[in-house]
Amino acid sequence: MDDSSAQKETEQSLRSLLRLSDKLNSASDLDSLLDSLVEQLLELTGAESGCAGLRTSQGMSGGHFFLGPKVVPLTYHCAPGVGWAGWLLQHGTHYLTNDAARDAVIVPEVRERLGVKSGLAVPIVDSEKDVIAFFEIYNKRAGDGFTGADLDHCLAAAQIASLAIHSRLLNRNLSALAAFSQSLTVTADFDQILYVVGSRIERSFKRRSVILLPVNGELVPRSLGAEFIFSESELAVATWSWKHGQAAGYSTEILPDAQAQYLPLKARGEVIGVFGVEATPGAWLSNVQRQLFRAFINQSALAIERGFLEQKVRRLRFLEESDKVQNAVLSAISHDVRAPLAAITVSLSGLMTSNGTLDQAAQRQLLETADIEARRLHRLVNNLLSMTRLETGVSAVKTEPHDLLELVSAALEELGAAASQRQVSFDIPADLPLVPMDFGLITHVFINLFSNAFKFSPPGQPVEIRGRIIDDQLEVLVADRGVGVPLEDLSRIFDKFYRVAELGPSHGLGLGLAICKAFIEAHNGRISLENNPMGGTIVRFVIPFHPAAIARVGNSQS
Amino acid sequence: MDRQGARILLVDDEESIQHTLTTVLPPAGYTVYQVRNGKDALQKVQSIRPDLILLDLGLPDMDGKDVIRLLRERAIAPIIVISVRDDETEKVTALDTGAHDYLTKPFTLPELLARMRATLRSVSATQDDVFTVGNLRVDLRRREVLAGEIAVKLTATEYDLLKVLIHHAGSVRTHHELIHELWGRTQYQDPVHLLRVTMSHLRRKLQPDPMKPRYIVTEPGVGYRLRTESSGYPGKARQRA
Repeated sequence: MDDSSAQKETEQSLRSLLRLSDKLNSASDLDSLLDSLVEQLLELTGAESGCAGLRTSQGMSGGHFFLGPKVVPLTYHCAPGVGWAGWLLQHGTHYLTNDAARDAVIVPEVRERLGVKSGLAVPIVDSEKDVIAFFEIYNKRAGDGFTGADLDHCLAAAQIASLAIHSRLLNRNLSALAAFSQSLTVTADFDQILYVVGSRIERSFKRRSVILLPVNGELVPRSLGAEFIFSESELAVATWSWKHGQAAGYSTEILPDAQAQYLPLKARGEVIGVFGVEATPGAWLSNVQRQLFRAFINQSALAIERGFLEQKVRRLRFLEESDKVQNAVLSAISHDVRAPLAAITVSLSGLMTSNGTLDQAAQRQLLETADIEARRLHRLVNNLLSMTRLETGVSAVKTEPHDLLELVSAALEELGAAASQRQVSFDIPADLPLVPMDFGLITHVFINLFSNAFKFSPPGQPVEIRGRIIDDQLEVLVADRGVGVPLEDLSRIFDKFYRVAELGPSHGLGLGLAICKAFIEAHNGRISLENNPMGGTIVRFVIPFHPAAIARVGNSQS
Repeated sequence: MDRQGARILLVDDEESIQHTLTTVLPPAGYTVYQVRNGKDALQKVQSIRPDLILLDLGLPDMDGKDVIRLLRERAIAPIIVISVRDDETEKVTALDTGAHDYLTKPFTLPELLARMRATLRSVSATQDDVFTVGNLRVDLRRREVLAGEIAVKLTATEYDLLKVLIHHAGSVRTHHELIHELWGRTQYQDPVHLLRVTMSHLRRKLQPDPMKPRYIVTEPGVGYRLRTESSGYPGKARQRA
């Protein structure tokens, strides 16, 4: 080759490289940029076919194989170390062979589909020598394969492509980050925020993740979209990261044996939790990817912090509400405690100061009043006590198998004269099995239900009680033919201190049904109230019980 | 028993209870001695030799259960616990430690008197042949049970259960005690459950009307009590009201 032809060739190559640079810069997106890159490379080197691809979070991934002007649809995923692309990622330098038939690195499917005899693979690296993309070209049309000059041209092409690809990757990061922030902004619920963070990161980086947040001074994993293997030792690494505000775990200097890497979630200079991302050995992130990852984590921290604050606001509002409830409790209780106390005090003091002016019947009357009011006071205190105990978790429900009929009798006994003057009809099968329940609590439920039924229905009207076993549940109905409940009050009738306005202010504490609800729910049961089509109300409650218990009673019955 | 009636040792540090009981018990025929703590109770029990001890569990110097144990070592007098503690394990422990009965504050005077009478009668070992409460009449000599005019047919176990309850009428019997007296060392898998079922059958046979007060009442988590006319069964006195 003479000087002039050599110079001509150099000029031609330079022109090709300039054209390449133009083409790449004018490409609208990354896909078309890679397509142009391959086209230009085939022209530059006289290769038969080729492909280009990007670094992913799992390795290398290429598409669009060019066989001359024809595109072969072949997707190409290489883990680090697998295939030529994987080799590039692992070694950071080019790969050249003119004997592909005996090459052990090439992916066999690529060799067969494209008939690869010779090949040149080149990594595209950023300014920090981090692999961001690659290309491969196969089968030089003229000569005995790829030459040193081809390699030089390809390395130059890789340099040119690097800038174009890098800036587009950064662009892509920006739009991904914008989309991520957007999806977090529109998410209101705290758990939803955690879910969005987890699923987005998994989709973008193909790694499972976990968010750990402090609860009572201890880091607790919050489950996300994906299950995450989590052990005591991993928790210790995460806790280290949380306490020191530094990354720890896999591929860091602190406790690198961990299965995951833990990054502190920082918002306004404070560590609010830890983000754990599962390690995928061998597939480390590129600088560009790592930048995006960090940006995601920062965004997540801000979103989680916002979620925290919103929760706090909600809790404050709740406290305000429960303050109101407490005031209602105080005023209601003071009324219902004072009323019977007043009656007792008046009766007894009247007796003490009467000096024989009262006849025997009057004395008896006063004493009976004091006695009735003292009993009422006792019941009220018991009701409040049982409820407070259940609500604060001081005492649990103590269930034993009991005869429904006995509880009903016990309630009627407790109500005394109020009950004995009424007509109560029973529909409880004789073979109803013993049902596990708390004697005291359910008896109270009956006392409250009967007492309502007697209070709100005329004396001549019957009160009905029905008991049944349906589907492993005890179902009980208490029906009266009284005034019923106005529709607008039905939904709140089981609320604490709720009273039906129509009935006037002083017919009780508004606790009876709330207590029934609390006691029934403590048995994992349900209670409901509806208006009786025949007038009055029907209260229905169910208590579930274990079918084995029925079987046992059945067996021991003679 | 002399003319002064049974001697009662009241162990309670609560002023109002002391005051009330020393007022109402003597007219009912009892002589009351009072102490305010466990140490004094242990001393006094030797010197006055009471027929019955009324014991509050919440004493300032000693745990109630220890007082029961130590009192039982020193005296044969039966103990009725009177306490504000309405906890079933507390009751069972007190009964298992040796208390004869358990009464939760607040209680009425008739209730207390009935329990005292029942307790004194059950330790005096003289038993009537006929037991009556409300409409129920049991003739132990003839094995005859009448609910009003109607003869009630009981199984052998049901009758035995009723008999045991009558022997301790007015006082609570724990599940454990009843099982022991009915079946001895039982091989039944779940004797408590068997007891409950037997009891439920017996109760329905004796008092089929749920509007009427029960003869046998369940003490949740503890056991059962057969009421007597005076031990809380309303009978005729209350129905007048």
